Amino acid sequence: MNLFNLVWIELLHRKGRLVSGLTAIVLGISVIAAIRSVTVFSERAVAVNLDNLGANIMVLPQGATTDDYYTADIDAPTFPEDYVERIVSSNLQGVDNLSPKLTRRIKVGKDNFVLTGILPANEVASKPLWQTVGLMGAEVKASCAPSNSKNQSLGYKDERLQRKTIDSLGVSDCYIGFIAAQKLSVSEGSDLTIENKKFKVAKVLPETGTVDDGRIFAHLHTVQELLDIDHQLSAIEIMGCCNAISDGLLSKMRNILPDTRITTIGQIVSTQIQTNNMMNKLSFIFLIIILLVGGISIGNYMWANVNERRKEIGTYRMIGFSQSRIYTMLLMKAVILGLIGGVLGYVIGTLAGMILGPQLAGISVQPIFTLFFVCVLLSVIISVAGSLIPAHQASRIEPYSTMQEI
Amino acid sequence: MFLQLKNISKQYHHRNGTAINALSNVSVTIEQGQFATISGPSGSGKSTLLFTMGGLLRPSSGNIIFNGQPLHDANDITLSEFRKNHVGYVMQNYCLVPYLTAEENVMIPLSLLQKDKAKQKETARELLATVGLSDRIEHYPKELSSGQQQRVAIARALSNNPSLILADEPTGNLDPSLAAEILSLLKRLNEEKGITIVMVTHSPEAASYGNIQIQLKDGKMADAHLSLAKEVLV
Ligand SMILES: Nc1ncnc2c1ncn2[C@@H]1O[C@H](COP(=O)(O)OP(=O)(O)OP(=O)(O)O)[C@@H](O)[C@H]1O
Ligand SMILES: [Mg+2]
Repeated sequence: MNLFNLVWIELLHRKGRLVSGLTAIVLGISVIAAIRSVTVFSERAVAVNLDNLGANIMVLPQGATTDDYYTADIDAPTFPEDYVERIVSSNLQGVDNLSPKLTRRIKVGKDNFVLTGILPANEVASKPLWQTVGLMGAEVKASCAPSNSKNQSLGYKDERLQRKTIDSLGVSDCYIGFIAAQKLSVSEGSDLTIENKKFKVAKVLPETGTVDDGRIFAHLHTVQELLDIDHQLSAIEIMGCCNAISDGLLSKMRNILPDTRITTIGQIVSTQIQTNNMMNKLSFIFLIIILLVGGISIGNYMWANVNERRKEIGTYRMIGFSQSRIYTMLLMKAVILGLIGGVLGYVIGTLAGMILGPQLAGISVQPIFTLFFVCVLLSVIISVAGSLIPAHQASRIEPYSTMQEI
Repeated sequence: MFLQLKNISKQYHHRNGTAINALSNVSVTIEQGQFATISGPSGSGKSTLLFTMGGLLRPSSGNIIFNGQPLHDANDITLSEFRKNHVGYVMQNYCLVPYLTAEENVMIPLSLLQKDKAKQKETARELLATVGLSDRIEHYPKELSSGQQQRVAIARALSNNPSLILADEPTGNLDPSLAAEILSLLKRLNEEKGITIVMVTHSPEAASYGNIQIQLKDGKMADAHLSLAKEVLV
């Protein structure tokens, strides 16, 4: 027999009490586990939505303004195309969907249009998109959008949320914005001559309500050749993971591309960051409440247990247990309760998340294994913290004071 | 000198501010191998004196020396060690742990002294056999009669091989024939193993087992005489 055996036998002696004592902590931990696993997965969903709001970072030539980019004057400044390569080959995390563009105002017929050279997605070197999502406690931030394959596996197939990237574009094809198509009265399949070059209208873009409606899009390299601005760009539009942006992605990019102006499209980024912060704060508030409630109820159980066992504790003291040994016994009990509570809480909470997640939030939830350790650790800490005072109280029980009780 | 108490006084301080003099100026010397009894009216301080001897209670003043070691001002660790290594306790209410079997109860002190569980078990069984309970090893206290419970308590008191057994009315809850059984068991331990025994008792019959008989009245020594001491010492 050793101290652990004694504690264990004592715990099992009154199973009813044990169960009621454990209930609070198991419930608390399962709520944490359920909320955590649902939020991690819903944060991913939210992040996908947020990041799909569109490009949020613009790389512009030094001295240019966003207005320059939109007005696309003949002499608007440019920068070399291999800047794209520099970003791609850097190891920056949180950069997705680089979209290099060259814009120039041109005349077709009597009207002015902005001709935009774009590079279709299959011609931009891809890079590992998003870092793995962190799952640990408060450190979990709303994650970056998962890569497309992950996206699909989670069932986000909403058409409206698909990024509007253009996957392929022939060298003499062009896309035409909705209004521009009306002005030029062209439709899909018709021919269009721009600056003496013949283009085939591959697609008339649906109305978006943005400047894109009045634009003509063609392959970047064709536009560069046509306008005689070889290997130059007016801008690179980037979708940056919103967390990476709040973690200083911009200044890292400025180090890589010192002679450019890098700005965020303010509205989009601040919405993204605000949403993430709110979710983090909510989780944190929950955590604090549960820690308090769990700790207090375990403390309460221990307190009752100590009072109920005064006589036995006195007996142990009589036999030669020191105060610190009694204290150790009680803390050992708290650790055991914490371990059981953590494991059960994790299992129950994860199951609850997996069952309720799809029903209530419409997202599928998978077990998060790192959360297991967080739950167990948290549970043990709560349990021990709640038991400190009762354990101290127990160690102060004087052996003689219980000896004469019947 | 085995156990010496000099001018022991003990006041209990009550919540309402009054102090009760449970012991005043008690001096006793007990030699190794003696069987001492403490008797006196209820509330005269018998238990208080016994607990003070056993390192369960610190006196308000006075000295206690056990084999040259002062206990009156010892700290919790020293007192716990003293109890663990040298003293066995037998109480009127047995003080058994209800959720442990007879064997496990006897193993508690053993677990403090040695790690080997098989040896703990073996010793516990031997001790239960000594008190005639070989067939009650797996029983919980509530499954045992009062006399049997007290015998488990005695087996447990013996498990650390004590040089001193302190008994507080060990037969107080037992009927006369069981009481006689327990008393003769204690007597046997005293005579065969040379264990020093101090026993609090109400009954004059039980008191007659002692070769030192301490009488307390209102916390003071009324009489201490060495009736059979000579025989033992000779
Ligand atoms: N924990 C305590 N707090 C306050 N007073 C106490 C306490 N324990 C005992 N006393 C008082 O000390 C005095 C001596 O008590 P003690 O228990 O030593 O008497 P006793 O001789 O053992 O009596 P009994 O024969 O009834 O067991 C009594 O007056 C009692 O009221
Ligand atoms: Mg008493």
